[in-house]
Amino acid sequence: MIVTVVAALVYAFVAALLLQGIRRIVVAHSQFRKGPSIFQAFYDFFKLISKESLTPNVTSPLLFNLAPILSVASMLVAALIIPLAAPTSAVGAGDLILVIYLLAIPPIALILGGSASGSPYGAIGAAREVALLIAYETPFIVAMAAVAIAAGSFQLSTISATAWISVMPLAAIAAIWTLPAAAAVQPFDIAEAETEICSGPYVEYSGPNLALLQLGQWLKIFLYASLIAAVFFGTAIYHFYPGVNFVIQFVIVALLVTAFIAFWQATTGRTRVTRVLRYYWAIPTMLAVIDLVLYVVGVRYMHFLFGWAGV
Amino acid sequence: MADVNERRFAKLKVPIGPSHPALEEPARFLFEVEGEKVVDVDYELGFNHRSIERLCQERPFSKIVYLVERICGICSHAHPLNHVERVEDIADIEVPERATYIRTIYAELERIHSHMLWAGIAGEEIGYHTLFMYTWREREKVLDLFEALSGNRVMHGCNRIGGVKWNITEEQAKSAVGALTYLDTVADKITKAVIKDSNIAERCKGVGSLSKEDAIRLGAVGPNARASGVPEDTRVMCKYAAYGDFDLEPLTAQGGDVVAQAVVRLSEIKQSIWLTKELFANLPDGPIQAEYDNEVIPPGRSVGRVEAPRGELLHYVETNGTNFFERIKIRSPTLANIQSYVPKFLGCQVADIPIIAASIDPCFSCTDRMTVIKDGKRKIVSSRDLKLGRV
Repeated sequence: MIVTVVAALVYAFVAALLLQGIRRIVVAHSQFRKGPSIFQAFYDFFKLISKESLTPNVTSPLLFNLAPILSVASMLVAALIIPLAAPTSAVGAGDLILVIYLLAIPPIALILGGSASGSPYGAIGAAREVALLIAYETPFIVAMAAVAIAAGSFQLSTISATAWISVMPLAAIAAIWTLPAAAAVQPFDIAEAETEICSGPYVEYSGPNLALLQLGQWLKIFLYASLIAAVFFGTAIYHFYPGVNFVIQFVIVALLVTAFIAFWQATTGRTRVTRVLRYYWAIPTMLAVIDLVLYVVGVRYMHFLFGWAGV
Repeated sequence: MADVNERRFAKLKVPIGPSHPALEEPARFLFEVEGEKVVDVDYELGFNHRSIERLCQERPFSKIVYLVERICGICSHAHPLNHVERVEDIADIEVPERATYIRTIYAELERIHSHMLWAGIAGEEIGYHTLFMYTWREREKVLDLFEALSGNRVMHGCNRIGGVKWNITEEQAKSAVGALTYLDTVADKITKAVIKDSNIAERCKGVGSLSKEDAIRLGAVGPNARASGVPEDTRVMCKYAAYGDFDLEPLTAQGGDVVAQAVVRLSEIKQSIWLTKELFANLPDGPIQAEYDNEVIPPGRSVGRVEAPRGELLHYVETNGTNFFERIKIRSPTLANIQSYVPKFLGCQVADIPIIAASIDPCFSCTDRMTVIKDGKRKIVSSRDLKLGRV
């Protein structure tokens, strides 16, 4: 048991940081650059950890210093619940709801830390983070709820037995559509926006606090993509040795991140806060709702179209 | 009773600068925002005063061309060009025609690389890093061209009183025209990437608008004024250097917003490429340096304008019959354009501040001519204060 737990945590940490390296290299290459080393996130993390954390005078120190720990702690718990590379997961009924809550905690930690930092940039960044969170969580939760209703359970081990993309492709599109916003890269890096508000909530953070806050964000990107992979692609493919399973899982997540985060980041500019809400509440939410409604009224269109898929 | 639709936010003062990632150079803006909306703005210059004008009075005139070239790293041809034209005007030196053509070639190449630099920075400000990387990579081609022509990429050292320093050979002209043809396709690509991108259109359409009346009232110059529909181009109006030989049309757009600024600058890249090719094709033969008395310059004064990439650049030169200048006054285009920030910023979103700040292509360091420090405190001095001697 303890070995599984440690293995999952170490794997999540390494994979989350490697993923950043891959994303940065992909973006760099599409911008005619070489980009940093694939281990750059590790260098950054360990350098920041070894430095001093400063707490500004005007902050509320408790909230300011608590936010990074909250962010990482919630992600470590989520790493144990989301079926990373195993057919089953550890926790019982209703763990999908718990995971959705946990995945919202790093942005909430940013909001808390940004508001507590006493900087106007942090305050504006926190306000933008709220808008962003509300925007992309809506289609994501509807898509997850649609899958859970179709599976008849909110338990991840039950849900991830099926590859739901073959039953609910519209919900899968909606969920994957939220990846760039969850990763907070262009066009949705509005809360950081270094040319506008100097990285917003991050601006007063330094040293280990900054390292943890960033680690929380990186873990969140990895776990968010892992959850989508587990729910929509299923965990049936992970029946090899644990090491091999981890590699397969990492490749799937890396492909998701490259195609839907790095690609967007390289080809767009930053959007406006007002546009994010319109953007996510229109098409992706509608797609997820359509899938949910069709399932509830009993239309199995994938079964009708292809005959082979569906429950 | 208050309007229910009118949302009320606490007013927040957001300082931008003197050191901020959105600004390449030190300047300070103080925005008053309600939620995401800017309701008031104040700006302050004078963080990068280098006493160029004073230095110009303390050296023999032969060294001043070198000095004024170093006012700006991007307009490194426009400043010395205007300066030598002023001196030639006072000393009545007839510049050979070939020299004026070579000066014009440099001036137009400078406009191409400056506008490409602007497009890259504008992309960076709205978070579009790929556009930034692309335009700056292709801008290197212009710098390579400068290196091939003069041996220097940034400070060309081209202008001299009475002529130019570097001649252009047949081979240089031929390879330069080849590079310009390539740059023409690049300009088309950038134009397509900027104008047709729906995300950029959403971000930039109607952002930082400036009406034609405001542009005239606030004395906007250069591409900033032309983007508001004011057909003013010093190249056309003053016909300095070799511009009199060509039929140029001031390129304008309507509205003065960021899209209009982009349209004006990107079409000016195309125009400059066309003009440079024409200049290479019609390059007259002859000497590149006029004979003149390089000991002293007769007393006199001259004021003149040159179209730098950022707009109208004004130089005033006064001589007193020695080999030192009596007075040199420089007004860079940003000082004229900076007033138009106020109507551009009012009512905009916080997210639009960097792109509006970048849209007039500011060059704060070139603008700073004066700063007053009294009792350890910096103070802004108005022209009224100066007249009344209250400094």
